[in-house]
Amino acid sequence: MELTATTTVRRPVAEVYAFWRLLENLPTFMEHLDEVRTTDEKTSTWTASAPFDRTVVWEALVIEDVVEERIAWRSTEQADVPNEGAVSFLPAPAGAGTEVHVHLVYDVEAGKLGKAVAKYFGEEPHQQLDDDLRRLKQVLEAGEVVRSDGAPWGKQARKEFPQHPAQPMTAEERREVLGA
Amino acid sequence: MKAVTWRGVNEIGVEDVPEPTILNDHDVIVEVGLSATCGSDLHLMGGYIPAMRGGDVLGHEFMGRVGEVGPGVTKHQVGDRVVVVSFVGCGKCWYCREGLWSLCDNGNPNPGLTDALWGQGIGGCYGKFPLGAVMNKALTLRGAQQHGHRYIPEILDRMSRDEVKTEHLATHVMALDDGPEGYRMFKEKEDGCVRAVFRPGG
Repeated sequence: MELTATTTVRRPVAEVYAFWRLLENLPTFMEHLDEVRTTDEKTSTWTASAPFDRTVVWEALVIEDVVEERIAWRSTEQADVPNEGAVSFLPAPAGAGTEVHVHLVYDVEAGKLGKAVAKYFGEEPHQQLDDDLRRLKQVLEAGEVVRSDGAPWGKQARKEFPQHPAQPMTAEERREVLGA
Repeated sequence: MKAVTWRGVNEIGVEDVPEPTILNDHDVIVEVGLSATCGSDLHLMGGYIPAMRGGDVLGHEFMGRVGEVGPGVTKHQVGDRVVVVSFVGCGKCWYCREGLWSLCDNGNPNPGLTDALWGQGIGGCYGKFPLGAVMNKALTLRGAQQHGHRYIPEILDRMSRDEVKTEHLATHVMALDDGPEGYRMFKEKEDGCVRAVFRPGG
């Protein structure tokens, strides 16, 4: 499964690159990622949610890092779902910020778990990546992933129908949605 | 908190709903002093918006006093008197910086569907489906969508100098408890109703 997506973020290339390069930031806007923990300059441990309340954990290696231009990574040999990704940062025309180009490849044919994960991505993996990049833009431009009473799920927003009028959440709903 | 709610097609009620809470760091909670009916409420009332659920709160044009601010809010503090525009603008994206608030890139918490339908996510807004932004931003159709934020300071300024009269707009000012009646009169344009305006205090 191969995915590409692009967005324009109205922040300088240096800032967008630095945000992405700190891989711990990825779960703030990528829906399926629960945690990324860097172990050293090149290696990191990624945890993603998978179907049936399972989590998938793999090690990743930064294979290319051109400052303020491009970052590429791939999973190491032991990964259940071999995957690789690359992101390029280009100055947007007319000083409008940074174009972010993302390219992801998941080897979902590699086993049962891979197929389950592919299914988990849903029928519209492209939409999910588009949504991830929209949240990247929200975080960098507005400072946070936006929520409303009508769509309070943050990065899990696709769970529900788009925004609608709503009423404030009860304490119980709040706990369920925000886990707090 | 008391609120006017949508109960079903053309069925409006007044009921107690949970107190609002801060969800985003940049949220403020406004204690509403006055809230107006809007033409787009009629689409909600009539059941033309498929996502509506019984108990959803109506009213997205309002003014009042800031009662609570989120940790990321720097511009306002508790006690500020504010007028609220229905569109949620982040204030940081290209559109907001150009004063085109209703086209905000970041204000919509869940734009996936419109993204798929029209190839362009649309702005966020309080309590309605912001079709106007789609028309301005993605399609060639022109909507009547105003970038209201842009004009509010000037309008308030002119109102303070008595250069803008609004009495003919707020034709029916009533207690929030009379919300169902107010929405009915607004819909039927009964008794020359231009806007019903509700006062939560009674």
